[in-house]
Amino acid sequence: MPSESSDLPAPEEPSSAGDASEARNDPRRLAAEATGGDPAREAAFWRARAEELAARLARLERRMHALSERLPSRWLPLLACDPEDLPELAHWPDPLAGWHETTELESARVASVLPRLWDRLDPDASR
Amino acid sequence: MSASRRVAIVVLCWNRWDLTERCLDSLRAHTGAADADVLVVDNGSTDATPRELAKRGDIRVIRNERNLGFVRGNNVGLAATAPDMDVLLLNNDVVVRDDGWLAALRRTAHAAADVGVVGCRLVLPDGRLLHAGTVILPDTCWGQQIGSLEDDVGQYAGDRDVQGIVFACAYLKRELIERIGGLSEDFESYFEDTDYCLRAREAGFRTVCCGGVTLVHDEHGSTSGDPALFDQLFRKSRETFRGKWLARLEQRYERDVTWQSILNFPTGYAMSCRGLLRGLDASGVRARYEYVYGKGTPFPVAEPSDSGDYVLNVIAGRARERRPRVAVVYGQGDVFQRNRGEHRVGYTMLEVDGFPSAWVAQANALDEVWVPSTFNRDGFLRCGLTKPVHVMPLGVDTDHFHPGIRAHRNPYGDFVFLANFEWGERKAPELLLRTFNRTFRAGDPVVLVCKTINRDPSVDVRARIRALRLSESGGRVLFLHNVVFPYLELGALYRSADAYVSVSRGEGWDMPLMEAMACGLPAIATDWGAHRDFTTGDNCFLLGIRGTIPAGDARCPYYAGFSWADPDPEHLAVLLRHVVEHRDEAAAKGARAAADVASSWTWAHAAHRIRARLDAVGA
Repeated sequence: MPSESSDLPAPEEPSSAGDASEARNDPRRLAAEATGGDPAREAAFWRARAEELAARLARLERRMHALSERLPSRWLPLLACDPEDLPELAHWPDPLAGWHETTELESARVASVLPRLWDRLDPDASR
Repeated sequence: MSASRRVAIVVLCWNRWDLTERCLDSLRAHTGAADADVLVVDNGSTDATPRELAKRGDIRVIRNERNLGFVRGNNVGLAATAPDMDVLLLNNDVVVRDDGWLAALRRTAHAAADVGVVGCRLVLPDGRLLHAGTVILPDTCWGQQIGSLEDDVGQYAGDRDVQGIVFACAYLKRELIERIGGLSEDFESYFEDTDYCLRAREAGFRTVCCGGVTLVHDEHGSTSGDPALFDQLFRKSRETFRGKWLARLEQRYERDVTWQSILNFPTGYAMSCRGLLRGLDASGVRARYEYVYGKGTPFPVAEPSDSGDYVLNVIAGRARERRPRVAVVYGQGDVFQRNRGEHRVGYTMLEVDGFPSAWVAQANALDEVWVPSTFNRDGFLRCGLTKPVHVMPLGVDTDHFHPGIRAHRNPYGDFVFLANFEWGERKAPELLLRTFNRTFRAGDPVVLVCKTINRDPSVDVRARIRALRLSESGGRVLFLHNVVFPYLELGALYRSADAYVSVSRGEGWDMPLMEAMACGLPAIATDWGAHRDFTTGDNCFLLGIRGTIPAGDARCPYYAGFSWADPDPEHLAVLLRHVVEHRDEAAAKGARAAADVASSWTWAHAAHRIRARLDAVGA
């Protein structure tokens, strides 16, 4: 059973190292190195890679299917949407922002305090 | 009996055509012609009223040549109604706002054969509540309006039996009119409505305030411009009323008790004392309140005299009995010895699994002990109580804590957990905050709102929260710290949340939990303590404990040597997530909680249990 981790050799340097490392990681060059330039072995190499990728796709599909069956329905749009459309990490309002440490009690009205409290959850205000 | 009986709406007016026109227009807009006839009795108006009334084709008009006053004017209208119709008396300074109002009043009137008079909620034009029935105490001998000038948050929403209603809007069932006739002409204005309700009661008919109907009332539209006239009419009618009803109002009380407690401070005992005293009065017990603390007690502070509540002020103002037949000390067990009664009762509670030896010693010097829970009963008995102990549960004010209370919801859609507690070891705030923060992610549409109180200058709450190092990638928490809302508005706070959570290590009752449950919130609560008497697996998510541990709070010496619960944070995490992910199940549990509280745990239920015990001891 193929694993999800690639069996391609790990790059020796981060990809940000530039053109030289990209050339070294070129899959055609890696395939040629792994098969010693033998066309039959290279064909078998690519067949194995294709089968492995197909298996990984199938596994991902099964995982998405399982998630879609188990997650609450309101979260399903998160599975279907483009990664670019995923919501940004939520704002975490500092619970101590504006805190006034006191032992005095302040009289207030629910109708005026709660709207101000909810404003702290406004996702637009946090950006 | 018919729920489709037609209704004659009698509108009495005297000048102020602007008010009458507004009233009639609102009736036309919100009342089906098939339901009702409108009969306007013009009490000798001298302004545009006669001319304008003549132009309207949708009403019947009776004109009195002179102003006969409120009582006689209405009786003229009553006499002119068809004998097969119910009657609704409506002031001309009332405005109807909603369709279905008349059908709702009629439904209430015909819900039972013994309902005779039906009133409704009245609000002022500025939105404040004006009236939700009246209470009549012999001490003052007038009908005091219930709920007057409270902010309208949807309180008194159900149908409730009341002693009286104001006749700005009074639905009178024909069977009652046939039995007792019209308004008593002993009165010109004022008190005739309270008198009528008491007459109805003597004839076997109940008066009900229909909480599903709210009308707008410009109070005193007919005499507000003439204070001297108002004063004259009021005084004269009050004397007439007193002469007629004082003795019979006194007879309503069948038991007497001296109630030594605390009333006018923001403490748990004081808040529950208020509910108990109101409930006892309604159940026919004449309570005489005395402050049990003060000089020479563990709380040596003098009590302010004004409770801000009419009924409670009357009860607190009653003359002290030299040697009460039965006296109840409702407070901590170290003031039991102040009980002044012949039959002496101590009524107390504690948040741990036992009671201090000093309390037990004082309790054993009484005739009997009351506690709100089986948890406390067992604790007392374990600690050597030898006197009879009775479980007298507390209750909750379901007029102000119910699922119909108006909410101020979070508009951003996050699921809101609410916790309401005084900061301290017993409430386990660190456990709650840490667990919530690690259970959820910042991006989860869930937030915890903690309404916290701290009056202890030695405790720096901010520093304690900071020391928890809550993760910015974890569940979001908001605080309402040291903010005090009017008690009667707290229902709006609960209703603005989606669930309630209490991870307390021990409770003597847990009133906030019960208030939240009464409001229909699904609640998570520790599976240990007094509140287990009103929480079940069906109406609450019970939080497991890892066992009991020594109760450690240096601020409360009463806890020394006893134990309280150690709530399980892993189970709390599971329950928090479960409530968020199974909202239908949680909502059903919240609805069940509200129903259970309303059916078994109101102040009326609490008072009836006490009344039964007072009957047994011959109070």
